[in-house]
Amino acid sequence: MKTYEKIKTLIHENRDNIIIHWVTAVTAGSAIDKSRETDDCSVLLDLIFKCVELGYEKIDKSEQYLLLEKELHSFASFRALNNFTPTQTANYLLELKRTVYTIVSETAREVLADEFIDFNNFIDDIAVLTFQIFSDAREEIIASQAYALEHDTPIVKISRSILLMPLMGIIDTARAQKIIESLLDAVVENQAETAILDMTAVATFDTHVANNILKTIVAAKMVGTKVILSGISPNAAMTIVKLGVDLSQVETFNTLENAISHAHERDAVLLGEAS
Amino acid sequence: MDKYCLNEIDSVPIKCTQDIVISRQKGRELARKSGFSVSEQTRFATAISEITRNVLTYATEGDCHLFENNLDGYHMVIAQIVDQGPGIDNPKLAMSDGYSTGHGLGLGLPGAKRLVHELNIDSTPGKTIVEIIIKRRVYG
Amino acid sequence: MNKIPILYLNSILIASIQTELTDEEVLSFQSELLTKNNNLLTKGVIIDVSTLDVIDSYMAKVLSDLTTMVKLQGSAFLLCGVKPAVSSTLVDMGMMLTKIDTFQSLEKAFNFLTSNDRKYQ
Ligand SMILES: Nc1ncnc2c1ncn2[C@@H]1O[C@H](COP(=O)(O)OP(=O)(O)OP(=O)(O)O)[C@@H](O)[C@H]1O
Ligand SMILES: [Mg+2]
Repeated sequence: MKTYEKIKTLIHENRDNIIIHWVTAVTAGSAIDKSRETDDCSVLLDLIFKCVELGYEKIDKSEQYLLLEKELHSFASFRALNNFTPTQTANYLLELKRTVYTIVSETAREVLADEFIDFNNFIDDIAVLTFQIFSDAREEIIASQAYALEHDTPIVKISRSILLMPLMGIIDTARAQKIIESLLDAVVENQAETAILDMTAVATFDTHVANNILKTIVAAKMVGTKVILSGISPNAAMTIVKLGVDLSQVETFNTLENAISHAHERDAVLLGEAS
Repeated sequence: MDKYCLNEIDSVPIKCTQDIVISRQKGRELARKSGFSVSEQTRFATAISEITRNVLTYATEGDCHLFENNLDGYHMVIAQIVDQGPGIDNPKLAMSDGYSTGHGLGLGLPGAKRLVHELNIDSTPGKTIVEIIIKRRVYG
Repeated sequence: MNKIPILYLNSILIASIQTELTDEEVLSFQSELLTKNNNLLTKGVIIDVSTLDVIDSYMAKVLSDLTTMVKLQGSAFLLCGVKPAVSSTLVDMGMMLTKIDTFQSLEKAFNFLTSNDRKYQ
């Protein structure tokens, strides 16, 4: 059975040296916080050392390896969450390989070639694993952002009596219901006179969307708020006509800017009236 | 309609228009206690109002039963409105917008259907059951 | 017997429906309102429904009939305080009360009737 006596001793004796070089390599040319990286590198190196100590054949499923795997998980997820680039992440463990190689070639030429090759392979394996975790985490984040975009419909207060709801993405029945409810709640809560539905970012415009917009307008009117539309794309305009949806009673504006200034004018008249 | 074992919470006899008000208030309260949103409570109560009024218009009296049920990860609140009247001749037709044998707008049943997740009619001369269900996913 | 108080202020009739009404109560309210309006020759009638949790098709029909009747009497008819959930429920049922002039609050409706400029409706 193979042993890893020499590389073990080398890592053990050069621990601090390796960490310094490794940290320097991974932080080179970037503004990453050095002390944080020193912590990460030390923890990882010690866990890797425990695995190497065990011997390459026994690493698989060992307690030591599970501990290392767990650490790599939090390491890679942290990087995905904090917008580290894929290259930065992929290079991280490869830099360890280079660092160890430099030390071997400078101070410990007696480390056997195959001992070093096994070490190399091991680091390659965990580098691949790290990158996999990193990209899974990234995908999850992207998916949840898309979800947030699809499901949250922000309402912006333009002035004391004007609300803006920019509609985004795909409007299905469940979402349309939510849009109507949150808009109605918001106009009543804010006592808004005018609500602007901006359609610029609506992905597809079909009969369903058109009917839901009409429903929103009527429901808002019944609570006492006027809804106006802005940003109907050429495509949406064609669809509306082709489907025969009657939006003639609805006030529409080519740009959000024009819609807002109309709402302000309306406001001025209403305010003048009240006094 | 008796496919699952239902847990009856309340029951209101429908004899006069005051009972319409009581039925929908109790339905609303049950939906609220079961964790449905204000808008779902309102929709459920309004549907009950429509269907119980039909009982007074087309039969003479009946009952409104309220149930709760958990099935396949859903929590449901159910209202079954029962009468012993002449029955609905053609339930499919009765469900279409604008159809009325009385002087109504014919919006009661089709409108109620749009307010809930499920509306089922089981009607023969002498016994009519209109069932409405609202559901909510429950986790864990 | 009508149990909804109907107030008269600045040539305006104001009624706030505070409790759920039975069909009969709604009808007697309707007829008392029309009689009062006829006697007082008002500028307008305001109905406040801000405490109503349910407006079903029956109530909606009564309100929409009232609009027509009050307008026939030569007065304006204003509705205020429809709750968000009630409004979206009515729309889903297919009861669009679009011919009624609606306001968010009694105050806004009252201001509308007492001011002169009615450019925006
Ligand atoms: N419980 C019932 N028994 C017998 N027939 C019924 C019953 N409920 C409904 N119907 C029939 O179904 C038709 C449609 O009912 P629906 O509630 O949709 O309209 P409506 O009552 O006629 O008018 P609206 O409810 O709009 O005032 C009724 O006209 C009636 O013929
Ligand atoms: Mg009916």
